Amino acid sequence: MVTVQKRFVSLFVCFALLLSLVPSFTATAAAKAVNVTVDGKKLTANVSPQTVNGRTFVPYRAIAEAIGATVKFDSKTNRATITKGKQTVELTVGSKTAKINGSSAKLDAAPLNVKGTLLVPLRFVGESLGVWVTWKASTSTAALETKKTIKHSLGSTTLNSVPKRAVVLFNGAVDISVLLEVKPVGAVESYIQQPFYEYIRPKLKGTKTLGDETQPNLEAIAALKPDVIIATKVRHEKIHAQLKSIAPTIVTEDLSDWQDNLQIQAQIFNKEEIAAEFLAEWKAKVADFKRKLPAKDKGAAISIIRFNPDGSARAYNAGFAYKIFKELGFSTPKQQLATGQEFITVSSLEQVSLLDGDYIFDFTTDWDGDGAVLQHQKKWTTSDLWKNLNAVKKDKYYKVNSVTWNLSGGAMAADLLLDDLYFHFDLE
Amino acid sequence: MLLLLASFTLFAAAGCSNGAGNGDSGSGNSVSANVSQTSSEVQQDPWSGVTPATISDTKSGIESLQSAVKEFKQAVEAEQTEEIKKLAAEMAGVWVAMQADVKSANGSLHETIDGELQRLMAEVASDKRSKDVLIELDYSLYQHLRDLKQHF
Repeated sequence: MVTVQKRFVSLFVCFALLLSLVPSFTATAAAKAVNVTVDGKKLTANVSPQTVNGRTFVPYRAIAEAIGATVKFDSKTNRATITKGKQTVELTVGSKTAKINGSSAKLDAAPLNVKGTLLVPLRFVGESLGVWVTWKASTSTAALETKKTIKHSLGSTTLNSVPKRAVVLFNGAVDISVLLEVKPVGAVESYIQQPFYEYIRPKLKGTKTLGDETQPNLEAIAALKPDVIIATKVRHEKIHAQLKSIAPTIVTEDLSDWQDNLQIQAQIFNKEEIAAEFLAEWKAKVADFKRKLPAKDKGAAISIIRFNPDGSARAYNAGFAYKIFKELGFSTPKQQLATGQEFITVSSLEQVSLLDGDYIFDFTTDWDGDGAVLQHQKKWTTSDLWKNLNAVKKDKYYKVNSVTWNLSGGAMAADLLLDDLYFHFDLE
Repeated sequence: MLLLLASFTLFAAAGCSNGAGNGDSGSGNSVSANVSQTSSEVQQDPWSGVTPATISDTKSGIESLQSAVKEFKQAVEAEQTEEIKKLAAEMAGVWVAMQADVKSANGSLHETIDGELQRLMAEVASDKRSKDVLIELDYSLYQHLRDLKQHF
C-alpha cells in the first residue's frame, strides 16, 4: 500500500514538474508594457497596451474612442467594428483576416483576448483609419496623431487624415512617392520617356497624368478630387492659391533638395520608417564612396554641364547633381565659382573653358527628339578648343543619364547617380 | 554589324583560353569548329561561336558581368587593347551562359542588353574603334545590368 502511494505521489510530482515546463500561451506571456499617446495624450484603459512579439496591441474600445471613431462589438461572432469617417475596420478575435471597408486584409497577428478585453494591433488599426502612427523606441511609445500640420515654404497645412488620393506636381516627388510605396492618383508627366520615367513607370500604373511640372492642368487636378497636393515653390508659387482651393497643398522649398522632400513626403504619408531607412543607407553609401575614393580624386573639381537646343551650354553650380557632389566632398571649378552664378550660360565656343574641371559630366538631353542639340554638342566637343580642356585631355569627360542625373531629382534617382559614380571613379 | 560580330567571334575564339571561364578542355575545339559556319547561320545566332562561360547561377553571372564592365572601362581608358579584347570575350561568354534565363525573366531588358553587347563587340572588333563609343556603351551596359540584377 505504501509502495502504491509512493508511486502515485512520485507520478503526481513528475506530472506537475512537466506541467511547469510547458510555456504559458496566454497573451501576456511575452507581453511588454508600452505607452500609447493619441494627439499627445496618454491612452488610458482598463487593460494596458502591450507589445507581443514586436507588435503593439491596444484595447479596441479605448483606441477607437481616443481617435474619434465609433465602435461596435458582436459577442456572437467576436467581431469588433471600428468606424472613423469613411473608413471601417472589422477585426475578429483570433483571426488574422480583417476587413477594411469590406475588403479582406491580412494581419501579421490576430487580435487578442486579455482578461476579457479585446486587444487589437495598433498600427494596423491606426493606419487603416487614416491616423499617423509613429513608434518612438527610446520611450517605448506609440504616438498616434489624428491630424498633422505640415510646415512648408508657403505656410502650413493641416491634414485631417493620412492622404489616400495624392496629386504630385514635380518629378522628384513622383520618384519619392514610388519609394514610399504611395501611388498618386495623379502626377505630372516626365520631361522625356512620357508618361513617366522608365525606372519608376511600372509602379505608376493607373496614375493619371496632369501636364508637365511647369504647367500642371488645374482642371484635371480638380477632377481627381485629391486629398493632398504636393507642389514645389519654384514651379507652383504662382498657382498656390488655386491649388489650395482644390485640396490641402504642401509646397516644398527646393525641388532639387531630395532629402528634404523625402522627409516632408514621409511625414505626410506616415512613411517615416521607410524614409529613415533610406536615408541611413544613403549616408552609409556616401561614407563608403568617400572612403574608397583615391586621394587623387578627393576634392576634385567637378563640372556639371549640358548643351542647350539654342546653341549654348550651361554649367551647374546648383541643383540636384551639384548638391550630391558637394555632399561627396567634391569642389566646384574655380572659373565657375568666379562668375557668382548658380546656372552659368556659356553662349559661345570661345567661352568653353568655363565648362572645364577635373571631371566633366554632361547630361545633355534631346528634348525635341530631332537630334539638333546632339549636333550642337558634337560640334563643340569635336572642336580644338574643347579638346584642349583639362578634363578632356585626361579622358575625364563623361556623358551621363539625363533622367537620373537631372530630370528626375528624386531619392531613387540620387541612389542611381551615386552608383554611377562608382563606375566613373573606378571604385568597387 | 553582324559581319563585324562574326569577326569578333573569330578573334574571341583565338583569344579565349580555358581560364576565360568554363574550364572545359574542349572549349577551344568547339569554338574553332564553329568558325566554319556560314554567314547565314551566323546571322541567325549572333553569339554562335562563343563558348558559354561557367557560371553557378544567373545572379553570379550578372555580378561577373558587372565586374567585367567596370574593368573594361578602365582598360579602354588605359588603351590596353589586349585587355579590352579579353574582357569583351569574357563578357560574351558570360552573356551566352545566362541569356536564356534573362530572356525568361525580362524580355525587354534581354533585348536591350543583347543589343548593347553586340554593338560593343562590333566596336571592339573594329579597326576604327572609338574610346568614346566604347565608354558610352559600357556605361549603358552598367546601368542595364544594375536594373537586371533586381530581377534575380
